[in-house]
Amino acid sequence: MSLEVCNVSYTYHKDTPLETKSLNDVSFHVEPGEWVAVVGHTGSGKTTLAQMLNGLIFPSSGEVIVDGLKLYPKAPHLKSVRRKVGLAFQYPEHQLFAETVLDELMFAPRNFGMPEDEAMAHIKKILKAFELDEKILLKNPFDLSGGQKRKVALASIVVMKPVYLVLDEPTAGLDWKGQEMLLSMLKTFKDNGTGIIQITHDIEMVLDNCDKLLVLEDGRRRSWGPPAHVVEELADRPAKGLVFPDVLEMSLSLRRAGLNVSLTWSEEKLVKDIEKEVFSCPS
Amino acid sequence: MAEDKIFSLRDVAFSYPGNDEPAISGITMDINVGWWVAIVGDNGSGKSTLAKLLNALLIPTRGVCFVLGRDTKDLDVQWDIRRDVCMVFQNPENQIVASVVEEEVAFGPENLGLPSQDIVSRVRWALEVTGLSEFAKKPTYALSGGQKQRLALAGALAMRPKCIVLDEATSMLDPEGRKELTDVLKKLHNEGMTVVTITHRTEELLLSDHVAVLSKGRLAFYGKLDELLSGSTLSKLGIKEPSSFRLWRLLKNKGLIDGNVLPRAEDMAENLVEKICL
Repeated sequence: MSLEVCNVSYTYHKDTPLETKSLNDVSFHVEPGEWVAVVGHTGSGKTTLAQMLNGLIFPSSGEVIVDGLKLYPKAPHLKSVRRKVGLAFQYPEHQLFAETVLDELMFAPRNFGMPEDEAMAHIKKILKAFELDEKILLKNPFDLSGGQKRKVALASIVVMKPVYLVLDEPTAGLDWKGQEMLLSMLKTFKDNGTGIIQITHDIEMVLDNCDKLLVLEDGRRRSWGPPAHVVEELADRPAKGLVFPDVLEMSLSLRRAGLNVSLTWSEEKLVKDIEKEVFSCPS
Repeated sequence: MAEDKIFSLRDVAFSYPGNDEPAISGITMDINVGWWVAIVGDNGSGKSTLAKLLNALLIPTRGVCFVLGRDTKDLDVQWDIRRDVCMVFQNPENQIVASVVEEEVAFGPENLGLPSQDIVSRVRWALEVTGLSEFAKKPTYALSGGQKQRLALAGALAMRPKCIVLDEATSMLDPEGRKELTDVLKKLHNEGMTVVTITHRTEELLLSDHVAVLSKGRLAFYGKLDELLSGSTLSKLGIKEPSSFRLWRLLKNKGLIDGNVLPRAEDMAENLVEKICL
C-alpha cells in the first residue's frame, strides 16, 4: 500500500498564451504511517501537487497511483480514492458551512452512507483526540475561536478515516502554541497508521517531525529523502525561498570556516561538536 | 520631567467603544530619546493599541500619555505629536497614496505647507536614507514588497519625525525585504532616532535595546534586552524561545562564546571561529 506520484508534470492553460508549467517531472511516495513534508517557495507547485493527490486535478503527464489504483478523469474508483485521501486546504475553516458542529462533522459520513451510530462513535473519539469538549457539537461553528474552527474543520476530514491525509499549510495563521498542538495531533494520526503529507514553506517546523522531505523549486524536485539527506544536498546551494533554521545556518558557517562540526539543526549536538573542537585545539 | 524622555505613560488604559474589557490597562512606562524599544506579545495582547497611543491616534480612556512633555489628550498639540511620531503599518499598500515614488514622499511635507526647496531637499534625503533614490521617478506599483515598505518609511521620514513606530512592518516581507528594512532602521537608530517596533517575531527583539512584553493587555515585562535574555525570563513569560537563543544559552553556560555576543547565528559563529582558530 502506498500513494505514489510518478514523473508528474502539470501545465495550466495548456495551448494558450498563458500556458505555465506548474510541475515538472516530480516523483515521490508516501506509505501509511509515514510523514512526508513538501516544502518550497511561493509558486513552486506545492498546492497543485496537493490537489492531484486525491484527483481534483489530473497530471498532464505522469501518474498518481493510490494503493494500486491509477487516478484519471471519470475513473470508476475515484470516489473511493477520495475517501481514502483526505485533503485539507489552506484555512480549512473557510469551508465550514453547517449550522452546528455536529452537522458539520456528520456531513461526509452521511454522504458516504456510513451508519449514524458508527459515525457518532467515531466522532466522539476524534473530539477526544482533538481535545474538544462534546458540548461543542451543539454550537454554531461560526461562534468558535480561530483555533477551535481549525480543529473542527480538520475533524470533518478525519472523520472519514482517511488512509492518507494531505494538509496544505495546516499551521497558517496559528500562534506557536496552536502550531505545536497541531503538530502533535498529526503525530498521533501518523502513529495510528495514517500517511501524512504536510505542505509548508517553513522547513524549520518539519525537520524534527517528518520522515521524508520533498523540496520543490520552480515546479521541479530539488531534493527528496530523509531530512538529514536533504539538508546535506541543499547545503551548498540553498533552495529558492527556503530559510534554514538558525542552528543549521550556524553549523554551515562553522563548517565553511573549516571547523569539524556536523551538519545539524539540533542545538545540543552542535554544542557537543563545538566543545570537541575546542578541546582538540593544540593550545 | 527630564528632557530626554520622549514618551511617558502613567497608568494608561484604553477600551474600544462598545467593549467593556479594556484592550490595555495599567501601563506605566518611559521611553528615552534614542532608544530602540521592541513591543512583543501574542495576538490580541494589545500591541497595536499601545502603538497608536504613542502618536495620539488613540487617546487613553484612563491615565495619561505624554509625548515630549505634551499630553496627547490636548487637542492643540495632537498634530505636533503626530508629526514627531510617525507610524509605518503592516501593509504598505494601505499607506501609499501617490502614483509616483517621489510624489508619495512629498505628500507629507506638502501638507505642512513648506517652501518647495525644503520639500525637495526632504524628499531627496528620505529617498537616500531608504536607498530608493534611483526609483524617484518610478511608479509606486512597480516596487517590490520590501521597496514599498521602505517607501512608506521614507514618507514618514520626510516629516522629520523624532520617533518612528513600526507596527508589524516586516511581517509581510520575505527574508530579503526584511533585511533591507531593518538595515535602514539600524542606520537611523545609530544617528539618534528613537525607534519602536512591534513584532511577534522573537528574532527581531535582538535589534532593540529595550523590550516591552504585553500579555492580555498588561505590561508583563519592561526592561533592557540583556535582562530579558538572562535566566528563564522568556519562558516564564510564555514566549517561545527561538532555537538560536537556546543555542546561545548552552554556548554561554559552557563558556564557549564571549558574554557580550548576541544570540544571532552570524555573531555567534564569528565569535567561535575567532576563538577556536586563533
